[in-house]
Amino acid sequence: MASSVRSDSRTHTPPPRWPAAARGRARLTVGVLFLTIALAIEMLAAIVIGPANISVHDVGVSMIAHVTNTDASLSVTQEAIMWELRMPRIVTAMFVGAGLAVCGTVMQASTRNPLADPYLLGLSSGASLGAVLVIVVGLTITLPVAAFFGSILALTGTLILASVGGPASPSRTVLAGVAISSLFSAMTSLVIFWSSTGDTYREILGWLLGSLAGTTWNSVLIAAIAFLTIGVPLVLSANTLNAFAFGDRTARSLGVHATTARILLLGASAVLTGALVSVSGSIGFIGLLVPHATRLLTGPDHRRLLPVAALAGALLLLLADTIARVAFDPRELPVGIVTAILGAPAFAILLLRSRRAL
Amino acid sequence: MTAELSVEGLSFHRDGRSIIEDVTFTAPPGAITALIGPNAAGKSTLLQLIAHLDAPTRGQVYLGDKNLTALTQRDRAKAVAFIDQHSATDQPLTVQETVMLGRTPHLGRLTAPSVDDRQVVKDALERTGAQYLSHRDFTELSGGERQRVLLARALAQQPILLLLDEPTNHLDPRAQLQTLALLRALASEGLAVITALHDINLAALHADRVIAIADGRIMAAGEVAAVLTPALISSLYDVDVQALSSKDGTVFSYSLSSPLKD
Repeated sequence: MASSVRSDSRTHTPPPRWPAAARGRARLTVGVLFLTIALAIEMLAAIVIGPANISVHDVGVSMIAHVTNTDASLSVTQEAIMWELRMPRIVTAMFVGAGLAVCGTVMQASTRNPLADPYLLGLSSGASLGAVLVIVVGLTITLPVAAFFGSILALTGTLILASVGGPASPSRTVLAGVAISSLFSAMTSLVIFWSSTGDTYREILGWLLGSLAGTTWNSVLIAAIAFLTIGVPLVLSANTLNAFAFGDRTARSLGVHATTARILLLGASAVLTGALVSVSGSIGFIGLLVPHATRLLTGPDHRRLLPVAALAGALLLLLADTIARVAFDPRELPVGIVTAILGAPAFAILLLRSRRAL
Repeated sequence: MTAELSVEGLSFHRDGRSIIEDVTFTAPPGAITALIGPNAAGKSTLLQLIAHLDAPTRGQVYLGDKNLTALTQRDRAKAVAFIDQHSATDQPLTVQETVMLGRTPHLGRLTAPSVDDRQVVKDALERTGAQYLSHRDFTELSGGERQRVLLARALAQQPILLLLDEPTNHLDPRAQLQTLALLRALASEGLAVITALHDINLAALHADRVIAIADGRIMAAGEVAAVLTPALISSLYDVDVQALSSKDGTVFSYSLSSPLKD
């Protein structure tokens, strides 16, 4: 080894007193602990808060009664509100929030585009078209199924368009998504324009802005299965996502089939998003904001970023949904309005604070 | 482990156009082989074909007795490291995280880096003299420091063949020489090193062997002293060339014979 290379002192900076790695680990531990405690408190708050009077004590009693299979002292109405209205809604919000955050992270990494979010590939407009066709035209399938297939149709269109005449590079994929998105939005507008009447407008708006009102244990089942079968494998694909950091060519030289991996990752994220959107409507901002905010805490390594983003996404959507329920009681806001109102300023703060968050 | 690279009849066509045509050469372990030639001669493409980042239209690439073209992408990445000319990231990766990327082909898809992986990363940083940069942000480094870290990332792959595309571009003279000194150190550890170089004099003074290509074909190949002649350089770049002897060896000065001619 040439000594002139090793002993170059000109650019040598003295090591900081606290090694950066140790500081990073400490911050990460505190951050994850904070998120976990906040999520636990928020879950409890979301059960207690609302027009029907359920106290923290009632929650404890009912939980114990359910676990031990004994009778609780709660009224039948209280039991029903807690277990059939609020609980499924809370669990759905958490799975949807976690899933959208994971999808956003995967989409940003695999397209190397900081603006990528779960709806990047025309998914939202595809799902919207499916949903609006059911609400307005009265297709004889259920709304979640129509939304799911709408988003898959849009995804297929985007991936075919991106792959025609060249490999599906990040920029081709994003541009194809924009084109398909515009097409499906136009078709949605056309359907609304031709056939919508006054009553259906609010229903359509509610769906387009996202809402967790009316979620049941069935919604929980859909969201949970989608998250466990697709979201969890995505969280475990961190090594592959990391390899994209220096672009496709470097990814290939590190042994990753860049184009194939991207199509698989985007496809899986899209199916997951489609399933989540089918129960919640298209909720914006979570998939865009949460990955950026989480990166400030974890750094860019996806092995840490993905699980923490899932946790933060669950917390944020649950918080937003609780606000949506009670802010204008007795009327409910679509939760997408709340995520945007919370998200836009948070995003602005991120931009101002970190010159390289994007 | 060391092995000789042998490239046999490599051709690459894109959109019916021939980019690389019937290229055959060998590159021994323990030596630096410089790839020279004018812009658009096919230097980058040739390196990418050897690393199989593009699939060749015809031809084979052997590393020792292993047929690289027949390996999986992942197994190839355990034997061949490639440092791209435009290697940049928008992620705020630390140097350590950047070098850990070199372990990608060795990690399972789902597994976290082991103690061994961390040790390999540490060794790679030491071998390139970049350990003092470990916790710095890659994107904030100088050009020379980046090149060192990228070399450490390549070493973390534990390759037997190292390919570099213009590693001295945009570097100041000191950093250029440091990069080449580092390549020399790695070659003497047994790596086969092939690097595209724009600067003829860097090739003349620091490489063992030279492969000159133009229009996707080999013009000359062999030991530096035998291949790098004023006549070859003159025909390769269409310039007037004069050989000068310096204390380090023969260098070349070049000038335009007719400045206004294209």
